[in-house]
Amino acid sequence: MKPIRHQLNGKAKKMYVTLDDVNKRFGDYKASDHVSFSIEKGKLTGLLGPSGSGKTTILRMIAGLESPDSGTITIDGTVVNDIPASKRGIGFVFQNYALFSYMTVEDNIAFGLSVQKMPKDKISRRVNELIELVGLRGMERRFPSQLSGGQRQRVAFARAIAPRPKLLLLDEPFAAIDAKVRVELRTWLKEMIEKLGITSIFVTHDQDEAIEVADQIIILDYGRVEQSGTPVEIYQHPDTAFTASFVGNATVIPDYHIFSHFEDIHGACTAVIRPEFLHLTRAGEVEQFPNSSEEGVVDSILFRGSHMEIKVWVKGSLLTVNRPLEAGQVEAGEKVHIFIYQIFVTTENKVYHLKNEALYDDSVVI
Amino acid sequence: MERQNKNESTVLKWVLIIIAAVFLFIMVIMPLGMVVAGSFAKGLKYYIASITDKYTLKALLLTLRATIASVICTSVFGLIAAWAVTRYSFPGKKIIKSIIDIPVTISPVICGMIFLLLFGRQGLIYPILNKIGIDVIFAVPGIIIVTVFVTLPMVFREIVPVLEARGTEEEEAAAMMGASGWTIFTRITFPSIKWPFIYGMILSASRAMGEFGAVSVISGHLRGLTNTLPLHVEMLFNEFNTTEAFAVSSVLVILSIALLILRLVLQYISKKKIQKIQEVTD
Amino acid sequence: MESISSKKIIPGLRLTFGITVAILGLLVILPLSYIVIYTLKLSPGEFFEVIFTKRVLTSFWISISTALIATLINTVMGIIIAFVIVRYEFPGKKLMDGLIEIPFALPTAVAGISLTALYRENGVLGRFFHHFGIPVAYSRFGIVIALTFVSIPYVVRSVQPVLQNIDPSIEEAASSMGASRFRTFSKVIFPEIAPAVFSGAALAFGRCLGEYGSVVFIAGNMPFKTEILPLIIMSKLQEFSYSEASAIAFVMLIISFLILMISNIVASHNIRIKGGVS
Repeated sequence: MKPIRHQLNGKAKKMYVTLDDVNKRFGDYKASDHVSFSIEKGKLTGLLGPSGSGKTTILRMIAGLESPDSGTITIDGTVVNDIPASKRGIGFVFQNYALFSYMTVEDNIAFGLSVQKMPKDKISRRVNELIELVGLRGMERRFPSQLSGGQRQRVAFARAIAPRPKLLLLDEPFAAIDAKVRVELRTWLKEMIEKLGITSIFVTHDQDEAIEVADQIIILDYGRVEQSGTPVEIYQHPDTAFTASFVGNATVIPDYHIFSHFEDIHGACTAVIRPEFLHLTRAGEVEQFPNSSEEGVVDSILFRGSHMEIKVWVKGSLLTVNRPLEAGQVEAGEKVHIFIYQIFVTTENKVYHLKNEALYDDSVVI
Repeated sequence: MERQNKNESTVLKWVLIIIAAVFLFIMVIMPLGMVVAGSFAKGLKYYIASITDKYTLKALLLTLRATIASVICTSVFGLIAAWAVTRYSFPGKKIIKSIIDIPVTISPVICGMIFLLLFGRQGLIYPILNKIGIDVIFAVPGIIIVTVFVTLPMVFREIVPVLEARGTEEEEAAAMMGASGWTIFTRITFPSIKWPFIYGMILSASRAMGEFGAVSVISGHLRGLTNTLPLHVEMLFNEFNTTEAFAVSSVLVILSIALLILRLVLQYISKKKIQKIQEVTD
Repeated sequence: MESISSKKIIPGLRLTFGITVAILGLLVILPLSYIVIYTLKLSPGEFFEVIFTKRVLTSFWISISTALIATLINTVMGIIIAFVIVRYEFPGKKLMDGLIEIPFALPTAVAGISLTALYRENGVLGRFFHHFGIPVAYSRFGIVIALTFVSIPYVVRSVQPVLQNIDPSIEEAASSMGASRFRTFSKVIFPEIAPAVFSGAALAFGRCLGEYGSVVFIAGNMPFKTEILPLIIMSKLQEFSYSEASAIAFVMLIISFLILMISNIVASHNIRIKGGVS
């Protein structure tokens, strides 16, 4: 994790939150394994990883709800390891919101302010402002149990930002919400955070969520940072085998040599293929690279609304291909041609981005 | 066929209801009726004389003192211990919970006996107490201590399940915002356990009022001094003053049934209130 | 998801933990340890001599047998009452539900004198039994009656919530498939409520074993005949034989802890079964 050090020394960007070689164990389980990363001021960062990857532990350590076994956590230039959670100036949105169930929406939002002994009139002004901001006008007197999941999240958000924290942490902010409302809320949350300009970190296991909402994504697995970068970087240029297989609708191929037309990387076998790397042609359709295509048999067809998702057996591997609705209907059992534009060949700690050799040959021919 | 089935199930229904009703009539209503019949066996005047007797009133006063002490102790202890046991995780939690349950799981006679051993003439503390001039055994302090002991877990037992079911997230959230322990307790924890807390107090009052075995060991049965109402009842009954014994019992019955009804009514009200909060009023 | 052992960020651990432990130490552990201290004053030989006298052994037998019978009665009646209250609609149902609480609410001494008056030779119910030459008060039968009274609520209250959660459509499904009523009960309902029945019965048994107030009046307290364990402890205390009383109490404590342990094991076993299914 040297690059981050460089960045720090070079003062290339203004780093707001920095974790430096943080370790944390729960018994035999390594929740954080030499974790180091930095977060820019004003950015929305997503900690993405499968369950058990240690992402929640990192969030809780930044919040002060856990303490690291070793390593330092710095917020705004101050090492916070020994600063209690309540003094870190952090707003925290819990996974299940942890709204105070015996307080109204108003009282929930006002709680942090009243604890700080803010004068009553100032509190009510601030609460009013926040209720307006999160769009809960008319619900001030309700109890959390009388709200929908989305409304609860808005209350949790308002409550967390009421004392104007410097840093906002959100633990799986969308996990407790219906799939339908979730997408709408994601956009809402992103807009809110951009509007307020507050540095924020959220934890999620859902890559779509991370890619859509975050300015920066940090991918975690087994307590280690796998990769950190913008959503585009992460998606297009995975650095590790884990990232390549975790992001995108990936199919892992145990041995990519079964497909000809790809460069042979010494010692590498496994590869990752995504639907957008493939093109399907039916018999009789015009094909750009007929000689470099693979034969395939359609296994199943799923209607995805905007497109068809087709599973095709190609040389013993079940690949997923997307096909526009306008293109001709494919049937199960049909023989088709599959052209593979590119693959990610992965070794233990490297990812090779390989293009089909036909693409180069073609350019030579024409 | 179906009709037969229905008939059969109605017959079964009423057979079962009658069995249950007869059982409860003989086992519960008749003893209660016996108290009423026994109290008035010698007429209303005698009844009133019995319950306003000097010793009865003294016993009532002592019972009330022990009851109030018990309710206060179980409340304070229950809240503190329940907070400690449910808001934090630490090794040995299960052991602490089992220890807290001891007073209600062991025989009342043993409850009284352990204090007799502790404070009695052969105990280690006796010489010290004797010097200061405090009598515990066969005196009022002993009765109060023993009653406090047998009711100690009552509030704890009522509120712990509620706190465990709620989890600690709300308190954590409040602590993160910088709230003090007291603020967290009064504004977040207590509102959620208000009702079970009150039931616990009522249960402990009713147990304290009626406690017999434990108090019996330690009281010494000094009429007008260390007799609680139940002990007074025993004394009268053993002296063959059956009518007086029942009259005094009726006071206890009225008090305990009043507490029972209060508890049932509060349970009903709280259920309604909680439902009202949870009702989605869109 | 991730195993979270939360850092103690909620304030007050030391204070509340300290107070709890201090109170428990002074009010529970210290007095309770006196039973051990006094028991240890006896040599093992003396200890066994106390426990294995005929009078003590007989009272063990009386206590355990009467407690078992009372528990059995209340197990059967408890299931019936719980079933009736949960499943049927009838006038007086609320009253019946409230009556269940009476044995808990009523002071035991009151129950004791009232039952004694009822079951005496000239009592309302005693007369009936006397007619057939069966004595109730001042016999083991009387002890069973008193113990049955005080332990009525345990099985009912532990079975009720479980029964409430069983979907009646399961029974309907079973009976629509032609299962007889008895079969439906024994195969469908009973396995569901069995753990609750057991834990309720264990609590009832524990209560019966230690019961004093309601029994002392009706039992007559005759050594070798109607002297239960708490009574024998009481008379040892009155004779100032504190060590002997402690020895008997010690054995009683062991029995009640065993009951608690067994019911805990059964409870956790059941949780495992349920957890495995869902």
